[in-house]
Amino acid sequence: MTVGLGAVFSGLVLAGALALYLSMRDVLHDQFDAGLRVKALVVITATEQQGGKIDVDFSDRFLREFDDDVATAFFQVWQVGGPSVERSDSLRRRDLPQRFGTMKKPAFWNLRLPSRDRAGRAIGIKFRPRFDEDDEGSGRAAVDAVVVVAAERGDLDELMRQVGGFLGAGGFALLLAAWLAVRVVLRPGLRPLRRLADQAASIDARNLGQRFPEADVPAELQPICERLNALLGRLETSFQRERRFSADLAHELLTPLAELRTLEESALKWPDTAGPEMFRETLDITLRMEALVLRLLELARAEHGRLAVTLAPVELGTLLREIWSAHESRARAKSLEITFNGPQSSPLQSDAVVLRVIAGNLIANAVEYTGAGDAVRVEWWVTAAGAQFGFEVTNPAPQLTESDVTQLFDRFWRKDAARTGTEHSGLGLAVAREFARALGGELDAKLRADGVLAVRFACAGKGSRASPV
Amino acid sequence: MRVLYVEDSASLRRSVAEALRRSGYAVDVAEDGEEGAALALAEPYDVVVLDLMLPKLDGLALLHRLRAASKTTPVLMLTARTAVSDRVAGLNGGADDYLGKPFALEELLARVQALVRRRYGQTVATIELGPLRIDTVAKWVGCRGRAVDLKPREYALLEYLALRREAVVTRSEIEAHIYDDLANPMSNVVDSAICILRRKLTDAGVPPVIHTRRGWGYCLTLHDVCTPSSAD
Repeated sequence: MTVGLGAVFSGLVLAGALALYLSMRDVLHDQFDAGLRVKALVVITATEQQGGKIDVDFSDRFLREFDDDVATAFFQVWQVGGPSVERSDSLRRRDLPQRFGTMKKPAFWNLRLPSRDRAGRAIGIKFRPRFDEDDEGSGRAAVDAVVVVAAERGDLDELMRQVGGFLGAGGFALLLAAWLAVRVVLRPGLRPLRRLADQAASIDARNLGQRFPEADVPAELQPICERLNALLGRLETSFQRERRFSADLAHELLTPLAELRTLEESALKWPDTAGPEMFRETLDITLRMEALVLRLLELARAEHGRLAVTLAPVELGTLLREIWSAHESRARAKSLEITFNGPQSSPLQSDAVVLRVIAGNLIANAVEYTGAGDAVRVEWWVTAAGAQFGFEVTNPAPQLTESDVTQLFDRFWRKDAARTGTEHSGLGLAVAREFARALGGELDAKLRADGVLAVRFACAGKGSRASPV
Repeated sequence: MRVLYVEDSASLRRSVAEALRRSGYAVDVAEDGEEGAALALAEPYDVVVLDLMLPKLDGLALLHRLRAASKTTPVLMLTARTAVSDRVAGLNGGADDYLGKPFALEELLARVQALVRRRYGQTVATIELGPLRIDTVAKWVGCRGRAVDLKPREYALLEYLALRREAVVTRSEIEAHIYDDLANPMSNVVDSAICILRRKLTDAGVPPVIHTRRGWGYCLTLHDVCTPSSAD
């Protein structure tokens, strides 16, 4: 940044100095040219025509620089298409180059002066000399003349050199001062930014708990620190979830692997332990692992949006009652009280298979985790033409806390850290949520003040007008 | 030797317990932390094999409860949580050894055996008593190079007496360490086993090494000079 600022400032100073130099040069040249023009006008005023001839009534005493002994200015007058009719003493019979413009737009040019070969500047004007008083009204044809006036420009060039030198030295001094100012003022000002950058560079996946200081930083940096800290917070939470998922996945797979390995090593060590019972047990373990892997694949497919959704007419109330009936014997064994609440007729267009997975998970969890004798409530709704629909399963969950509810949909999360039992892998709600999203809906859980857990699926719906895919 | 195995996986509980039994250990099992803690505090186990993630009471809490009650029973943690931080937490929490799942059965048996040896101050795997030689790794007993044919329970009895050689071991200690919770405390199973063991050793040419101390128990020694003592 310091280098960039220095470069920009240097560029500005250089451009400014150049612009100043060029404008001063133009002004000085204009002034010099104006002086030349005045001299030319003096000569023109002193020129008249008489009888078709040009006469210049000019004395060097009028302007001493045309005199031979001063010789800093020169003039020469020609009759157009004719010979030279007059020249200043300073020319000492030498000629000036003849070039000219009009009175309105004279020609100006630089040249080497005939006297002492010095640098000069000249003006050339073609003009019509006034008639002599005797010739006025005689009707004689007028003749035109050309006057060229030149003057030394040594002083002008010297002045321009001085201006250029002054601007160059001033610009350099300004650049030096600016560079020092950048170092002295800007660098300390940028120090907190540099500290911020160093700290950011030191953060990686292993130390996402670090936070940027928000108190001892300049006010301009405070919002940046706050945003970065919020970002780090989100990253830390994601990483923790991913790490927990990896650890949980390892545990879920390592335990059945240990079971298989122990059974097989036992059978090798004590062959009499290898029998139908052992094979049945190894098959059960293998099927459990297979179910887990298939669930993970299902989840991965849903997370990557590769779940195929096939729309067809679905009667939501009937579907929910069917799913409940699959769990009825277990619910009866626990003396659970079930309440259904929803419209008698609830047609809509959706994917029955996907809906069955979502509702199946919710109902299975309710049956599994509701205490004996408690009540489970299944409620559903469908708006006109099935534009919006959803269902909610509620059951008392006194064992859950608010913090548990935020983790309900995490992969492998289970309230019982020991993961007792083998039927629930802890993937069900994670899969259900991804399936809900595949249908364009959302699955949420809320723990009410009375300790009742409500898991709700709400979907914008495709409407009954949508045709099946 | 008596081992407690606390594990919530029914399959592992069955197969590891069976493997330990077949290796000559008396094995009790518990399927959750509360049951495991109750057993570990009540019974004089030689080794506790403990899973970390357990229902009701996790393995570390169980271990803490055990050590808080001044129980020095060696504990082998057997768990799928094998990160360095988990191992360190387990060992710092009072575990004597740590084994990650999945494990080699032989390694588990060797580690349990090593913990048993350490408990009785035995640094080498072989115990020699005159012509009698007991290999605790191979579970082999011999006399002057000739093998003595012993059943697992008989071997376990001899190994226990040998680990506590020169000391009087009571019947109740033998019952507690050699027989699991299925043993009937009112039976004369210990006396019968000692009788059979003596006969087999004598048949193999081993001089009388198991001496009865009336009113106390038994003592394994080449000389008939034993002092009553007890192990935890």
